[in-house]
Amino acid sequence: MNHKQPVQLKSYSITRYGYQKLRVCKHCKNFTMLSEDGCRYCDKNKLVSLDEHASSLVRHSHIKVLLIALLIAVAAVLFGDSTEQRLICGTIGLIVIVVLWRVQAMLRPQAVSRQLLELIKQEQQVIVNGVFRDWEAAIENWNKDKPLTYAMLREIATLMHNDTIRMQQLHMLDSFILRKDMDLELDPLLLRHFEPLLANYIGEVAKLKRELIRDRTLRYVLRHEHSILRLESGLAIMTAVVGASLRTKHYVASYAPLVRRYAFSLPKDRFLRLYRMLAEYPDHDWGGLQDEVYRIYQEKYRWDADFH
Amino acid sequence: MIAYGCLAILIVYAAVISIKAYMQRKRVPTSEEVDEVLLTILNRGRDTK
Ligand SMILES: [Zn+2]
Repeated sequence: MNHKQPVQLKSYSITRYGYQKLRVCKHCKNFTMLSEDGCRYCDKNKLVSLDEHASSLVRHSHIKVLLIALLIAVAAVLFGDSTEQRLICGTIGLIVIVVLWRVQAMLRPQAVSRQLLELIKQEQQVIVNGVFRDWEAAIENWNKDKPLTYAMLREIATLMHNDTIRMQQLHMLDSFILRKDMDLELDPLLLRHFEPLLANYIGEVAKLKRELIRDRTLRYVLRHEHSILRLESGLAIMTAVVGASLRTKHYVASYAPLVRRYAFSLPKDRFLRLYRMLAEYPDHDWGGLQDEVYRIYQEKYRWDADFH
Repeated sequence: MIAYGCLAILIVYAAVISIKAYMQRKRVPTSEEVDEVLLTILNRGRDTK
């Protein structure tokens, strides 16, 4: 416990889509996920979002098309044999250019979306290199600045989904004293295999931020229940998770056998919540959970005024 | 006559560009598709979830 440090974690900004985490340098065309001001590669302050970049690429290509059209129109005017012919060519040329410009403006949003996908496909190797460089940059801070490393890893993990980066985040989190007011996450950190660091983190989150205990975490602890119980704080972890799952009827109903196994260890306030939930839905089939809760009630809380 | 020839080229050019843009308007990738492609690119061949 004593290796843990009090830290201040940077808040994590949620974007609607993952690709919005990525930015590109307009100068050297390198990509990064890290929210720095200047470009790490060329030191120029020219990082823009992919949306902006795609939009400017479309603008350039539209301008190019209009310029070509203008050039042909000017040629038509210059080759005119008479003033009348020049006038006709000039007028029609102008109308065509205006129509073309309107069509471009009308279909611009669609063109930008297509350009965005095109950009990602064309630049895939550069994007991969950029994100791996970001990852290296995060690891370079491993011993110097753990909260910064964690913040960087969390950003990168938005798009990089693998157990290595999850483990690195768990190592960082393990070195922090976690608090209620911290911007924490759980689902993205779940691994496939059993990992004591993750189990301990789940136990802490279950106490600090109950709302983060959802189906995926409950399935994880269910799958690795025996391994978790072998840990020193195994019973406390399981009890905290079960206590956190008592938020809604859905979790209690879906994981009734799990709740039953740990109901006895629940602290009084959590047990009271469970007791009241079962009393609220007496006709629901809780699969033996009711009997166990009633038994615990008889044993521990029969004379407790809060239960009446 | 060359002037009208240029004018014809201009009209054909504008028509081709406009029709191409108009035809492509239905094949617009959604942001979800963009995300999917990006995630595939970044997580290829690794121990992804
Ligand atoms: Zn740059």
